[in-house]
Amino acid sequence: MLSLRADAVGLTVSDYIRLKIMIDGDAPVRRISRQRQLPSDVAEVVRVLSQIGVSLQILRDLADLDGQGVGIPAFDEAAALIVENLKRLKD
Amino acid sequence: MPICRAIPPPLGPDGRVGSFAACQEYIEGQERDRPSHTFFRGVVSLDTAALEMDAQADLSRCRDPVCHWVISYQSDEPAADHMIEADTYALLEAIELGRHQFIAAVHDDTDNRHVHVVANRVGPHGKSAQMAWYKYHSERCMAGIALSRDVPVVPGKFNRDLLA
Repeated sequence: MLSLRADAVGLTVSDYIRLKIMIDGDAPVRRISRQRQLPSDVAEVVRVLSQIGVSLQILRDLADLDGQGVGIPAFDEAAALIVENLKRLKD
Repeated sequence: MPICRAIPPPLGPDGRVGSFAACQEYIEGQERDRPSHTFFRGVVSLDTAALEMDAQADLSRCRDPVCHWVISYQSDEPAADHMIEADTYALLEAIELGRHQFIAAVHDDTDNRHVHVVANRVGPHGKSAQMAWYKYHSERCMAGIALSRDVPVVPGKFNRDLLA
């Protein structure tokens, strides 16, 4: 029964129970927004940087399939630059 | 066989739901129980994982996009890092989080080697996974892994037909 109710609102059972039983003052937790939502422009930048970084990692792994490590430093430098920029956005 | 459980993720500093940062802090542990191995997918680094997952979750109206799972192995069971990685991918695939972002941390601080997985319920296309019947699928996934490795299957509610 509980799992059906949880499925109906698109939550796992544990999430559903937590939302039902937890309160914040008089307001149920389900009325409270997420802990952190980024400004939309920042979120967009983070998503783009993240996708580029992940693609670079995939390319790096593909390039290194033979284990020779050829061209790997270039990928690593680019990925490090992306991480650095993401950290700046995080702060 | 390995067993898995969905664990309610810790709340954020304001007592709010959906904090990837709080959950990551939890699975990375304290000084005495630092993970022995970490791996991730869909994020550039562990340092920026929470930010990247937050940004992806913002595409959806999902209230709590943080999924926290634990896979635990018996002490006499083979559980090398590469096996744990493979099992984590299999579990996430089974519960509809196949291509979603996640970070995972393997811990050796107890008798049972275990891995904590924090996954983003919001996928690459900005849609939140329904994770329907996740208990059924996760339990059968673990039983399948046990059978493929020839280790005993722990009887559960949904894997009776797989027991010898």
